[in-house]
Amino acid sequence: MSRRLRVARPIAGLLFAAVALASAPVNAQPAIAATAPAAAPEEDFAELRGLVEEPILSTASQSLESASAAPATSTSISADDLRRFGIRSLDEAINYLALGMMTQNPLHSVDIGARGVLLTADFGNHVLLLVNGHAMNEQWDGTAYFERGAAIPFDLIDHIEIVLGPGSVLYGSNAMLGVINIITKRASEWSGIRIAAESELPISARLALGYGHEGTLAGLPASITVALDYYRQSGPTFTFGPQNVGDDSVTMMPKKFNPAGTNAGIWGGAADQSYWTRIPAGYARMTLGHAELDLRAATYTRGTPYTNEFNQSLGDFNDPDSWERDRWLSADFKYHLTLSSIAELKSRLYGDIYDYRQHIHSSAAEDCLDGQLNGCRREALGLSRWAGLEEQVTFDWRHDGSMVTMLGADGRIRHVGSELDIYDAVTGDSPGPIGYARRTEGALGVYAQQTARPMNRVDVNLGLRFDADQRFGKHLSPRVAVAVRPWTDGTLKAIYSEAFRAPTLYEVAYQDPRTQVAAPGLSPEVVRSVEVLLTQRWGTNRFLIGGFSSWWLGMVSTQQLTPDQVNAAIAAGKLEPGTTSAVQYQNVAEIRDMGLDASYDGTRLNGRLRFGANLTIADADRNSPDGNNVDLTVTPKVFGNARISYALPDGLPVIGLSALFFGERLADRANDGGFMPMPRAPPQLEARLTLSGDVPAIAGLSYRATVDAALASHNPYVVGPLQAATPDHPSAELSPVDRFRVGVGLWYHFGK
Amino acid sequence: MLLWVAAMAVAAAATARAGEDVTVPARVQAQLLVAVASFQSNMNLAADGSVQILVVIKDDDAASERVARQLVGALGDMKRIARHPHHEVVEPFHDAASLAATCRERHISLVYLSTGLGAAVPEVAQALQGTAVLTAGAVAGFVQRGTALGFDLVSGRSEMLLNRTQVKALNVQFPPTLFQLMRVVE
Repeated sequence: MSRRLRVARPIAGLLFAAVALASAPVNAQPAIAATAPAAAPEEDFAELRGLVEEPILSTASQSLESASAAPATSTSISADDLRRFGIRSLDEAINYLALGMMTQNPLHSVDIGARGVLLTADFGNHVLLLVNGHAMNEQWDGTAYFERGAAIPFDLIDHIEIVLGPGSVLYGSNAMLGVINIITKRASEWSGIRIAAESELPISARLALGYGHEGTLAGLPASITVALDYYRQSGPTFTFGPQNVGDDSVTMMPKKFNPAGTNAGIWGGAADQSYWTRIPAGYARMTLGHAELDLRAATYTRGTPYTNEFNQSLGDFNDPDSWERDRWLSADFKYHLTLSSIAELKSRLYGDIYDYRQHIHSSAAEDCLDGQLNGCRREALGLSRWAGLEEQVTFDWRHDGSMVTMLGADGRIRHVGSELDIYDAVTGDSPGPIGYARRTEGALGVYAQQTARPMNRVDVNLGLRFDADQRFGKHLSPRVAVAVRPWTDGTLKAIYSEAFRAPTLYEVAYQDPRTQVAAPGLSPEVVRSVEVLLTQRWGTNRFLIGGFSSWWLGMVSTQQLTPDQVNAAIAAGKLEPGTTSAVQYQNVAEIRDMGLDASYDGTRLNGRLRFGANLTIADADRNSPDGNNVDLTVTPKVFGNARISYALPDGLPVIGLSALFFGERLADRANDGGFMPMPRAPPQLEARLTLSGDVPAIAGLSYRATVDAALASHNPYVVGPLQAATPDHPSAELSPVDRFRVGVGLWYHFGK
Repeated sequence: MLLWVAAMAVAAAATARAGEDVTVPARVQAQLLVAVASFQSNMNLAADGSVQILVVIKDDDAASERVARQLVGALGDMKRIARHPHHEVVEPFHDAASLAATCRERHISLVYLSTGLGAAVPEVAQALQGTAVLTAGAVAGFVQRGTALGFDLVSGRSEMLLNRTQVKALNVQFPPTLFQLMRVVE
């Protein structure tokens, strides 16, 4: 019997039992409806409060539904949660408040993973990030950021929906680990003028300005919300090394890590100038009648304090003028129209402009091209512009939501490109771009979703999406979800879903005649997932437990070409004559993942006391082309979070305490760095205490203060130029953790 | 593409009830409505002891009809309301006086106003004064205009809105502590 069938049997058994229970005659009475109409005791409100606290989601099926009915395991994080627990960025929200998803911080853009699978250095392209339904992942590399670099004015966030598991059925590429949808506030919740100032003392500052208004225009209801943020960070100062790198392989002199050549051959010291961030960002949302226009503009510029295998494999040490920068300009126009008593049309026209630039100085000749003996400046460029039109029509056949068909088509055209220029540090000359690529591509996704309630207490969601893309060909993404409510306020779900990630332009088209052959035949990476979960609500308490298993196929990674393949590439003019070694991206690896999710949250004391916890236990291993199975790096096998808050009476603060836990994590170079001992980051426990509330006697002024503390001192990333063991450095140096930080912030709402 | 935007803008302008969007799913509204109604101590009951719910729609309005039917479908999945059997009727709105007469004749317990009836809410509120009929609206903005109860979506959760002035005017009796769960509009 195959492993897959062994998993399917218990799922089928559970489903059968649940359907049998659901089909039996039931006194279909929610507990709340049984309450006597007169003399209702205080505690009876717990049931009503529980109903009010039930998240309403829109991401999993693109229609509003309660969390218990959604065809996925989901978390909804409210603006109130963000305030209570001092959350300042999307990755903090994920780590402190979400179920099943987590991020790891290499001191630049974070890696994101879910349920035991994290693919290092993927620039977030295995998670689809949406803002009001608009995809943030750009079309060149699929990049999305989840730290401050998400560049969404944070005070404007109404709530964040985090959907675990494959989600390509409605969203296409990138939705492999899950879908995160940030919903911004409406004008009714964001009226007037607001300003804010916030700092993680003394390393960062954020200034924010917001405006919201609703009224009528040309006889139609109209609204506008605008938010502008500027964030900057510098430090903290971390000390690295010293790493004895030795001689430059070109000059045969000690390798230089600064233009003056001081302390040559040694990498390290205090990185007091190279860890910084600048993010100006703006978001505007305007509505008129049933039409909505969303606009976003942002820039994310940052310096990374150490060389690594992720974004900056070489460069001078502590250089303040080496940086990366992403820029976005987005527009999304939506309109919905009721066509008849059963049919509704939603239209969406969107367009984005994005570019990425990396600007790295290196004083070492071996990091540069032939003849650039005094160093060089590397300028890497990625760009994408895309525009699309999505039409979606929904048929509510029985007029009551019990049989709904959704049909949609999303067509887009994109122009993408990349190149790398390496300029001589002295002359400024470059021999011309490496890996130059420009392409204009078309893509079309057509999808259908059928929801049905064949009997009371049973919901079925079937979906299928077909994608045709000039970059990779065709792909089908199905989903089948069944939700059964066998007893009051309990739901049992079984879900099968698939998702894919289109190969990036870099993976398909990058070529270097001395080292790398392009891979025009790459297929999409694919994940298939099965999960079963039980949710139960009683009063204001909610509990979830679920099991999942997923199979990741055709994972893209670089492969060393055989001598025959190298010779064939030389004969085809893809490699320079004389080349003896080269690599190519190929669909080669597989990942097997399985585990458990559990979640509990509740409130007491009329909502003043709130608490919750999430836990994920997962085991994932990667099957490499040589047949060996290795554990995935960076991701913990056990992780979770817990939180509790209490709103003191009479204008006193809200006290929030949140904590996150990561189990031991293999470092990113654990499997291929040859380090002894195998580098691992220790288990991590981070806690945050938050006080928030209104400033007495000053109407409209509110405050928040946070204190962060972390137990472990290292994250699972090998730092510095020594990314593999040497006789002098048999063990790895891991990236540091900012272990203690105090934050303060003030918000003022004019006219409140 | 510009033509498409222009067409959408024209369509937007031509849409009569823009802004009367339902933000909380009808199924969730039904659950909340039933839960709140269960706390009314002077609920009207029909002669057979049943709870009569009148769902009012705007005539020839597809969206209004669909919201109403979704609510009725969800209510139909609940066997009892406040331990009483219940019965729902969907009818088009003609005028507030007729609606008030219907409520009196049929001992209506609860009137739910579907989308498209925003302009009629004030006169309905006036006509139903003192009847102990609980009024609720599909759209959050109806509460400000005069329904006793409404629902909105804030931070991904349902929010119940209650018009305290209207609750008094209708003579609907709730335990005052219930209001702690709601955003109260005067």
